[in-house]
Amino acid sequence: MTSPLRGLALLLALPAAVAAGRAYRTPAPHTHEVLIQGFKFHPSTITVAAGDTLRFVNRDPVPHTATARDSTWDSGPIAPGATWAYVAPDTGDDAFFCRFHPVMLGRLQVR
Amino acid sequence: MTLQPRPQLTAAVLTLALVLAPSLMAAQAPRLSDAEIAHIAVTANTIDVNMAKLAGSRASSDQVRGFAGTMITDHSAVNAQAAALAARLGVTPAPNPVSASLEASADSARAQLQALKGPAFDRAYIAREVGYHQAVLDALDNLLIPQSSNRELRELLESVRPAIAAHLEHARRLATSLGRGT
Repeated sequence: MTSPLRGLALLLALPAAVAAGRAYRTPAPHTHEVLIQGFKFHPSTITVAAGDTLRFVNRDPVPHTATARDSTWDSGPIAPGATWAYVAPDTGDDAFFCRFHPVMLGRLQVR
Repeated sequence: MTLQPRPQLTAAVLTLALVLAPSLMAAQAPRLSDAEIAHIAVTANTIDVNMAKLAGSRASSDQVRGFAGTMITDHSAVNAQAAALAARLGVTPAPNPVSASLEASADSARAQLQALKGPAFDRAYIAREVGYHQAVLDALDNLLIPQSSNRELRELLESVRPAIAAHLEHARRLATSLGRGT
């Protein structure tokens, strides 16, 4: 390949190389499961990255909720056997609880 | 003369009747069949649902109404599970002196609560719920779970225990806040 064509090939390959580098540095979002069982959140404290998904799974025989203490997010009633997904948008530290059973407490840390 | 609410005394009598010391329970507790245990479980749930319906119509506090709503939802769900299990096992819940005692105590507590209104009702209802759920929890631990023969029945009772414990803690916290006037 002559020098001008080699230079052109490198120029055309450059954006793809930069994009590949960016993709390598930014991990794909993860899904984290929070089990609701025995009237507890398992785990009760969870640390995730912004953009990750929390998947609340209700294994109890009664409905529960997952509700931010500052009311910024609320699952509404999660029926027995049902799930609810929440994408953590920003970094922060949220206490959450079940509106029906306020003794059920959790903490979400978004990094 | 103001009628003094004594649902705590009613609950205490119930607790005394059902709990006692484990060794004393072993010596003097009634020997219950699974059919009788099922009847006690259904009776206990139904009592709390009915008491919660009364609270739903008379409570003055949003928090107490919310608690009552949770009692209706949860105890109805547990009763549905118990009924489904009994049907699957071919067990007909059998009336017995323990469930009769529960119903008699509930009738007495209901009469006392119906004479109250406003914050006095709220405090008396929640106080009664604290005593009731403590008695049910103790009965589960000392009588119903140990004496159940059928594995599925025992597992159902064990799975219900966290609900009763959560209700008890919720009621205790409400009792504290109502006592503070918050």
